[in-house]
Amino acid sequence: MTDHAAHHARHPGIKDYWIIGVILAVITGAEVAASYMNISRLIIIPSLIIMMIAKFAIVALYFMHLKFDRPTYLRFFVVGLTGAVILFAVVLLTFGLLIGS
Amino acid sequence: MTDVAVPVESHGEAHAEGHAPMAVIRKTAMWIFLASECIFFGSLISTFLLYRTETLGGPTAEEIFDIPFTSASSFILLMSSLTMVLAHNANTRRDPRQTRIWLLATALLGSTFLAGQVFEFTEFVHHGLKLSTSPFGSSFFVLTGFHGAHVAVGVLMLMAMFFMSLTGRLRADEGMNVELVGLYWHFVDVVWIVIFTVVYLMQV
Repeated sequence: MTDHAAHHARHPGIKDYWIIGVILAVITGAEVAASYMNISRLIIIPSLIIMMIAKFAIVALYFMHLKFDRPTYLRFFVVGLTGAVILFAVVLLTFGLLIGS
Repeated sequence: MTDVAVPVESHGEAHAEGHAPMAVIRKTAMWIFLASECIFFGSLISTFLLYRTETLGGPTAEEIFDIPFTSASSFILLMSSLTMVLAHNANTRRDPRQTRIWLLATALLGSTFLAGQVFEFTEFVHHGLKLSTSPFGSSFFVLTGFHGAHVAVGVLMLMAMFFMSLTGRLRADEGMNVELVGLYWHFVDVVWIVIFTVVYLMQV
């Protein structure tokens, strides 16, 4: 999508925002319920991460308008997120090994 | 370059014809700032994960976290993102009354979240977890404290927008101001989405 086309994409209306709010509330409820379930952490942890990513993406794309705005803004945000993930991995791998956790 | 002659569109931007309008430059600057904030919070979350088990005999996450209470706080902050986007929507519709209502609602929800965080910190201190108790305590309080400071700054900006609107100083052609505060507020919310899952739910 070009900058111009993205700029003119249809923005959500008030009703859409309320629906998105309900979806976010439902996912949060599911997250809390999942954390109380007495099942393997091998299932719980990936489920929590998937729900977290879903909530993050919904807020960023719809409430922050990244889905409808200029792709340049999305690129800047992705650069920041990528930097955070790389930092995350480097810190946990290097210092984690040193500390032994 | 000036933003005086820039026509305001549905979400506070103007067409880029030949040169970037001031609205685009300001919004780009905000996104660059938010990208840098991703790395800032990424470092704090990494540090917490590194030290989460280093309790030095002090309280552990499992012993001290009150998940139902934090879930309620998280829900409040999440809903403040909804009220913020409704404020922005009202502002783009040139409806100052609705804009003020939703800005105030967002500030109140943000303040409620902050009050909850103060209560939570007080409870933790009473249960023996302080900033200097253990690496776990230090990394937890620094991470959530910095997030709380960001929420406090957001509440101040929201109240500034509210009073500017109330006194007629937030003109209809200054929609970009509400949009930029909104971007900051939603960012604070997405950071909490990560903290709530990684720091709270995954540790109990």
